[in-house]
Amino acid sequence: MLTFAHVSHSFAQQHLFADLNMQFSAPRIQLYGANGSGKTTLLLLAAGLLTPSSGQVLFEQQNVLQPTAKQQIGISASKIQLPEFMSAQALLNFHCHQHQCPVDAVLIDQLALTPFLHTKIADLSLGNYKKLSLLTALLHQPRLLLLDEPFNGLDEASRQVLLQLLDEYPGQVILASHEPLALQHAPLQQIAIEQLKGMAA
Amino acid sequence: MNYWQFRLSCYRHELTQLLAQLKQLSLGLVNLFPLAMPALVMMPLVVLALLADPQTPARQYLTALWAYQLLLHSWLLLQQKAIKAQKVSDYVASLPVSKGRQRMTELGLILYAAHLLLLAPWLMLFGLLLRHASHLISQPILVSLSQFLPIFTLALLSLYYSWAAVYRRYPWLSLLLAPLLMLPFASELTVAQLVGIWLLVIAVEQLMTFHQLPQVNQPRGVVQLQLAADLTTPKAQLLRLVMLLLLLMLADNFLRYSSEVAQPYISSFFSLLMGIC
Repeated sequence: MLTFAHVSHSFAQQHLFADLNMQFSAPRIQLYGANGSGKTTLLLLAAGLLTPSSGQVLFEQQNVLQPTAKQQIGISASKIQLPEFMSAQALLNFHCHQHQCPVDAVLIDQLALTPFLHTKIADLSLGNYKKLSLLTALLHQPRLLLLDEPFNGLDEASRQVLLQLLDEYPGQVILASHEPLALQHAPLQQIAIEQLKGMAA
Repeated sequence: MNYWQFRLSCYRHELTQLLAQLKQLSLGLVNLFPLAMPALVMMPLVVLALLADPQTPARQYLTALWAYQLLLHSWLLLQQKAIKAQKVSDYVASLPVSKGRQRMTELGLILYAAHLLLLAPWLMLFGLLLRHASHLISQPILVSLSQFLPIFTLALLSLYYSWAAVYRRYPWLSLLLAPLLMLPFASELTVAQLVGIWLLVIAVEQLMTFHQLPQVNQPRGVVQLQLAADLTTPKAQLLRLVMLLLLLMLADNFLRYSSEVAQPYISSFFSLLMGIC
């Protein structure tokens, strides 16, 4: 379970979250809100990529800033730049080496990325870059999957693959998306980001 | 590919891009001063001998030490983004790697990036310690300390400013203002006193809190626009200031050792260079 305990965070003079206390327990959560409302920041805080100004974010009682917690978290967001000088294959090999997991050729094939594995990341199209980013979040089978606008740039076939994957994923999934989602098996909890901001203690 | 190899690849890629940007500038320098280039490369190593010698006058020691630290700090500051893999920092942060391992990797990259400038003072210090080990044991400790103080200070400050270039905000007080203010009085002080003051300023700098300068909103006119740009990207202006200080130190040394007839011409030349800066 993901827990925000007295979390405050601000950029420059703008306060995004002030003393936020919240437990995310539903297996599928969709965050929605206007552009710039703080959806991506919330996901980055949950992944331990941003350190909150105060308070802490916990996943299964572990601070998400700890490397052991990061082993259990996967994130894909357009804000996270991938090393453009590497090939897709080299990045996936390195990523799986770090997470001590196998490179899942079936998943790569399902997302139709196999023909582009030897392409330099800088030369990938927007859609293929998105797929690679999704793979870096998925391949180590994290217990918490954080996805920021995961359908942006994907073709119809890949969208269907991703939808099915999200539906059947064994861990918790939190995603920020403007699109209405139709999951068949997992119930989806929708949370407005503005609603979270009103949850100060 | 392991974590170290990955970070080294990130560093090399970023450095390749940086070098491409610097290529035009360096080409200009080579065309302007074709014979001075090998001398420029060797200068820090020549200065090392001066800095290790306990007989070096305090003023000369201060200018040489200051120039060395400015050069080392600026060199690493230029590579800061590459060392920290700033472009892919979020991806790096998402990896299950401990803070300790990250810091050790970055320390390795700092050594790799600064190599001779950072390692040479330490190698020289250890070399001298080994060579004079017997004297160190036989003579009074205060005498030994005074003999090794100049080179030990150089090694220590090189380590500190290398670290500061990557992890701290710009040390304008200890690296720019304090040495500049010490310069007129340097001849009246001993090397030990100079070192003491410098270390004290560094300690004070650690305790100081800095407030960000207010941003200039809605710039009107070119001057305000330039001011807004300078406030948002202060690094470029700081590097320019460092260049000016290095030129100032070079001019000081040139004038000190040149004849009175040549001094006005040398002053004019350095004034022109500083004007261009």
